[in-house]
Amino acid sequence: MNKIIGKNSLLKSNFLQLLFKKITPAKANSRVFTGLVVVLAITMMAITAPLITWYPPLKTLVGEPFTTPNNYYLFGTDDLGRDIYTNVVYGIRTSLIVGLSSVLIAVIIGTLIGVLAGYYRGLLEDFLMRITDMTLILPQFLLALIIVAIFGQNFQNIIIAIGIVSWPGIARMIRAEFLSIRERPFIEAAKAIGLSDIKIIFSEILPNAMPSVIPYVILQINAAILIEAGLGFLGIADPNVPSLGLMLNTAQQYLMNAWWMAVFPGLMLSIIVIGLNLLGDGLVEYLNPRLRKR
Amino acid sequence: MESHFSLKVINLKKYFPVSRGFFAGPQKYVKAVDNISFVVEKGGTLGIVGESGSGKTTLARLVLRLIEPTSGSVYFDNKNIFELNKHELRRLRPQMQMIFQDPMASLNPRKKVKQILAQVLKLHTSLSSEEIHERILSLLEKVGLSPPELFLERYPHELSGGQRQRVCISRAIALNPRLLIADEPVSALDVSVRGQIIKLLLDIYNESRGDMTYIVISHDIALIKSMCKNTLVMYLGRMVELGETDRIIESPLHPYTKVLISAIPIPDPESARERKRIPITGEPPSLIDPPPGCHFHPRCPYVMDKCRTETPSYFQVDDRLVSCFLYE
Amino acid sequence: MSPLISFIIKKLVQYIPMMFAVIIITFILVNMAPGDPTFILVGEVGDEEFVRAARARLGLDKPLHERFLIYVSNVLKGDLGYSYLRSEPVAKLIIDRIPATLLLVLTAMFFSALVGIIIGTIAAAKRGVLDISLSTFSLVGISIPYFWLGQIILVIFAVKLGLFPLGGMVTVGRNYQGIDHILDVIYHLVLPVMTLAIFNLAYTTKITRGSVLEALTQDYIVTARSKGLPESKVIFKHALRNALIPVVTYTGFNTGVLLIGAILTETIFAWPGMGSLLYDSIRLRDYPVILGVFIYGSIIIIIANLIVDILYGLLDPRIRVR
Repeated sequence: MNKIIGKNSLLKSNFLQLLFKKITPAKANSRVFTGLVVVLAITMMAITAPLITWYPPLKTLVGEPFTTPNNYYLFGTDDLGRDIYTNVVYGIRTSLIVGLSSVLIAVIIGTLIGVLAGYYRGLLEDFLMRITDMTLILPQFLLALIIVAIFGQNFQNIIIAIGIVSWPGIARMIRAEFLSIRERPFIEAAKAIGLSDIKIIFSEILPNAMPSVIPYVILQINAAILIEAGLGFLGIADPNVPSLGLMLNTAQQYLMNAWWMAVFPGLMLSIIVIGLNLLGDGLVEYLNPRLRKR
Repeated sequence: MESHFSLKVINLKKYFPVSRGFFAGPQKYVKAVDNISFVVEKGGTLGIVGESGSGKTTLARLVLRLIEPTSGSVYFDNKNIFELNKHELRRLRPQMQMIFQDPMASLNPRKKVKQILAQVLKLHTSLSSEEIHERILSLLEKVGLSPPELFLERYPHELSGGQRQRVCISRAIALNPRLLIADEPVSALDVSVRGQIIKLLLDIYNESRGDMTYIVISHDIALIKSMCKNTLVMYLGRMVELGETDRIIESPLHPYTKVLISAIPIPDPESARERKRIPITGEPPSLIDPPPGCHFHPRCPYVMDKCRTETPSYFQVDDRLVSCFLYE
Repeated sequence: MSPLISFIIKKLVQYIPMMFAVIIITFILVNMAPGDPTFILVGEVGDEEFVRAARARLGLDKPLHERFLIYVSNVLKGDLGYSYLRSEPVAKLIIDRIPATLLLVLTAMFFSALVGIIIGTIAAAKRGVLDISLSTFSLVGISIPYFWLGQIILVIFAVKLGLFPLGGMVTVGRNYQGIDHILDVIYHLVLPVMTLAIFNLAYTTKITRGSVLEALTQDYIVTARSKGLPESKVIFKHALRNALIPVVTYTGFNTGVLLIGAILTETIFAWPGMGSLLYDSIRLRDYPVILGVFIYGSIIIIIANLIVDILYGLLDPRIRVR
């Protein structure tokens, strides 16, 4: 049956083709699909935030403080009378922006280091990997926390700090891929036709490394979103940006009376994380033939 | 006079260090290519034959400078390719091409046939994209992939083994190389398509009318016989015999060559029965600790005391070179 | 030298530079900070006398490399500065809090490993309906941020049902002694451990299931089955034993994640550990303590990894050889 799928494939896109042609159990397939739907839905909410909310975010006293959820305030209001629904929707936006931009930073640093170590080998590799391993063992969360604490609690610093603590995993992954791919004969064939190192790295090795790296990057986005929320939960956040974590921090003080202040931001955060986990984990299983057999 | 030569290999050596723990005695080496010299004239054909592990592929990679040698030189048109800088080497690349053993592995799995060929052409020519397209079509036609339009958009995994090797061949000849090295060009293929690929390679050679030089690497001396005028026999990194293929097969000189030739199957059972098979004793020795003296002596039926300690140099017999004390 | 000792030394050589790295990174960050590092190292203090004394002690008027040496030697001596706001040395503040945090981490680790191994093994043995509910459970367990999970648990079990205390480590005002004290602590420990363990449980279950399933495909299992051993014996005696190594390794190397989890969980349940200290220090902008928690937290994690690495070498002789 797998052969039939392989031969009749109509998918022309390079990556998708690679994904869907492989022998895959229905389970992994449906997980990727569900994850994709959740992530797309959440992204849509984030993009259309101004259209699907009625109050400006962070605006105080749009209603009575501590209003229980009702038709006007879907998720209720908080201690300052801010609409929780509005801030949750904008909070998703923040989460996604933080996740994507900090992981972009991490991918740039990680790719650079991984490529240098994996392609050029030798002493440079030893040195870079030693640094990577050291950074990897440090508690990412605490490191991000003190960076923001020291450099100032603003949105930009939070993104940079999370980016700085997230690169080592990506660097290791890319290096490992490079180590295995660079030994494959088509790289020697590329050398034989006279391709330059740069071209070999970017047009031959990197595209072949992507299928393994992409799911990992998705999981890394997830981790970044959780770090941001965790920082917010401890009160390390930009007060001028709606943040699901910071909302949970405020809610902590009113748990006894205003449960909705904690429930909705946390629920939304969980949905984001579930969606990304489904997508990332599903893709990992998709692309790992050893796991796929189970 | 000098310019007559297309390819001249002089005292080429490649020793791979054997990695072992610290403080574990002196560093040992695998002498994958140990002091090999030969010349292939322009338009000539040379077969390199030997068991797996005899250093054939390493030799080929050295000749193209895909790896750096331990010592020695390779003159391509009187230029020592090991003295070229990166830039000069890249400019020379289109003139010396290689066909690899495993066509599937030597094609980037994420590139279409079209992209694979366009990449070579873009790199070394200044053709417009229409011209490149035309060239690709005629190349595919030339290597027997027709109608070529059918193959442009395919990925390597969508091709059969034979078709893949044809793509590899078309990539190698895309820029009209003057030296083409085929490393076990058919051993990864189905027996049924081997003949076609060999014929294709021969056709390409014949069409070049003496412009192209071939080096064919194989463990199969019958394949070498069908393709190459001259043959170099390798054993554990060393050259044991070099001469005209037909002469070597008719009357092998080196004991190892004799063993190799006697292993060729003969289609006629009558004459096969008459042939004396030479039994070979013992396992091929380890590359890390090859026997001293002549590497072949532990398995050689004609072994002399001298063979155990001294390495034989090359002795000329008629127009052949042989590395054996029997011909001293 | 016996291979074991040389293995341990090799590991120490590998890990000790990491501890230095923590100190160096902290120093670099502090000195890259915008403005005066005094602000970070001493804290937002109005008392000029105190600031002047602290600056002299930290060598803040000296050139960078001297300052670095002073800093490193201070940290190595265990001197992380003085919290003006709390009138106590930072090191003492943190060290006092470490046992509470470790109690939380270790209890959660123990329970999640125990329960995870049991559920994971059963799930591997009886595939089917259980598989789906289990994979859903682990997905949700992994995905729910534990700091939110803790809040929900607190609302349900403490606020609404009133089964457990709202927070703290002991009941305030009752000076329990002996066994009563221990029971009181356990009573307070339930909810935070539950929060932390659920997150870890999801992973342990997943890993156990995976490695038991993998073990079940091995030849020795086929042999055991063909000998006619009952399936339960095959799984628990043969498959599980070999599947445990990844679980143990994971649990050990996951100490870092669990420690961070504890820091966040503590703030919910007012558990008097490093996390609550960190939380309060963030609110009070008590920078010396924040830095101290980073250094101590990192060092605890590095030591935990070192221990697991060595234990791993003891358990699996193949690792040692490499």
